[in-house]
Formats: sequence, C-alpha cells, structure tokens
Amino acid sequence: MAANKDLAEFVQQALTAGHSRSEIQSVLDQAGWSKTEVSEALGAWSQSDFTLPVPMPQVTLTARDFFFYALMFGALLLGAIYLVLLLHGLIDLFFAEKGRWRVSSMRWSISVLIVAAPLYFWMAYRDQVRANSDPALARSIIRKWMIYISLLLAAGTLLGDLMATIYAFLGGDLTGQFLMKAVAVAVVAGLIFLYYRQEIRVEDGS
Amino acid sequence: MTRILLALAIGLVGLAVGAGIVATGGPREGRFERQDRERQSDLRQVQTFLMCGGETAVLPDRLDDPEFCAHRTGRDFLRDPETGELYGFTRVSDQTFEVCAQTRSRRFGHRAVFGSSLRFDGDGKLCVRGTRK
Repeated sequence: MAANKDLAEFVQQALTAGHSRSEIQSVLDQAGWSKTEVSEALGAWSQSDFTLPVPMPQVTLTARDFFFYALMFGALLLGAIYLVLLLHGLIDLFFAEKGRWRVSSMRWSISVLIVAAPLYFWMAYRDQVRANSDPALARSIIRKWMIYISLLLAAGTLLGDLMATIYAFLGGDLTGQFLMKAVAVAVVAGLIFLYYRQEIRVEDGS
Repeated sequence: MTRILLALAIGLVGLAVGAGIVATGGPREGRFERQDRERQSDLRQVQTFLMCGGETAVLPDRLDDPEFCAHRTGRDFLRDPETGELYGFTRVSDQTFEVCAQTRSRRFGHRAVFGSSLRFDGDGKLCVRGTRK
C-alpha cells in the first residue's frame, strides 16, 4: 500500500484513464515523490492488459493469524530457552561435580518442553501444510514479522554465543564443558535460524 | 529442507527430554529427593533438640523419651517422613550423640551436607554428631 492515500488514488485514476506507467512515473518524479514511493504505489497494481487496473494482493492482518502465530512463536521461544537450559543441565550433570543442584530446574525444563515442543511442532507442521495449499498465507504480516523476529533472535543468539566463546578463550576459561554448552546454544539457535531462513527463501521463490 | 530441519529439531528435543528423564530419575526419584530434604531438615532439628537443657541435662536413652526436654512440643522431626520410625540414635557418651537417617535418593549427597554439621556416609546414611556444652 502506498504511504500516501492521495498518491494511491492518483495512481489508480491515472491507470484507469489509460496512462502508461512511465508517464505516471515521470509526472510523479516531477511532483517530487521519491522513487520508492512511486514504485510502491505503482507496485500495488498488476501490469495486465485489462481495461481497468487490477490490484495486486495485499498483506493481510487477521485476529486469527495473530492468535495462531503468537501462540506458535511463544511456544518456540519457550521451547528453545528451556531446551538450552535442559542441555546445559545435562552437561553439568554428566561432566561437572556441581551438577546436582540443577536436577529440579531440569525437571521444570522437561515439563515445559513436554508441553511447548509438541505444540510448536504441530503448529509448524500445520503452518507448512497451509502455506503449501494457500499462498495467501505468505502475505500475512504477522507471520512475516514473527519469522523475522525469530531470525533476529536466532542470529543475535548465535553472535552472542560466539562472542562469549571468544571471551572465555581469551580469558583462559574455555573448558570442555563451556565449549559443549556453547555448542548446545549454537545448535538450537542455528536450527531455528536455518529453518526460518529456508521458509523465507521458499516464500520469496514462490 | 524445512521438513528435514523440523525432523532434526524433533529428534533433538526427544533426545534431550529422554536423557533428562533418565538423568533426573523420574517421579520416584523426585519423591525420594523431597523426603531426603525433609530428613536433612529433621536432623538439624534433632541436633538442636538434643542440646536442650545445656550441660546440666543428660542425654536420653531413647530419642522419643517424653521426659527429655519436656516443654518441647511437636516432635514429628524425630521420625523418618517415609517409614514413621525414629531416626537411628546412638548415645556415644552422656554428652555426645549421633543421629542418622537412611537417605533414598541417588543424588542426595555431599552438596546437602556441605558447610553443615551433617555427615554423609557412602552407603547413603546421613548423620549428625554433636556434643552438649
């Protein structure tokens, strides 16, 4: 959708009147509209030979999408955090003498995962099935935001993990246990990053 | 590709949860741990209880002697929370005692007694030894 309502209306009327896109572009350039604004306004209409301008599909925003994706990404966030905590607990339990105190927190992590993980996997599977059968889903603004927020968080976690590892190395604290914990974080964040990057690629491709 | 990544994630979560359940020991182990924490708390209370009366009083022959520290009410801490039996009491001398509880949890060990007057034996016995002063 064009940033300015007047601009959008003008483009629609100009196309209806039969003006070419280059004519409209040149008129708008002279009026001072930026290239991005003009291309966005023109991009809202399909380049077909039909007598009337045909609108391009627009992004969608529905309460149902909000419910579905907020729940799905909430489950992902919760599941990812507690999976890392559980893996760290297991590493401590098997490789450190002080691991005993983590047992109760590990039980909580297991409880969270038993609920959050199946919920997320089921929703992610349903989302894939729906996206394959209905391309309109790719235009869901909430879905896009959630995907990019997940990518941002996963990328940030990966970078932070790398920084912490280098810091530990420089400080002489890079033990095998620390390294295993860093790998656990990297595996979980990496899987999320790869999954959503692939989703974006598939959508961009289609 | 996304399905492969999803399958990998499911495998990772499944492995972690499975290993977690094995490592933590499940509900039975959890119940044992809770009871062991109670035993630990009980032994600390027993230690204070047996100091009752200072050096003027003599240690009782039995832990549940009603004459000993008669004013003290509520003596549940003298008994094991699981079996209801009195904790093992040994009167080493008139002033020195040792009280022991048998722990059940696999993991209840050195950390529980670290920095306290409790002692943890290898066979799962948690003991407190004290001398009245």
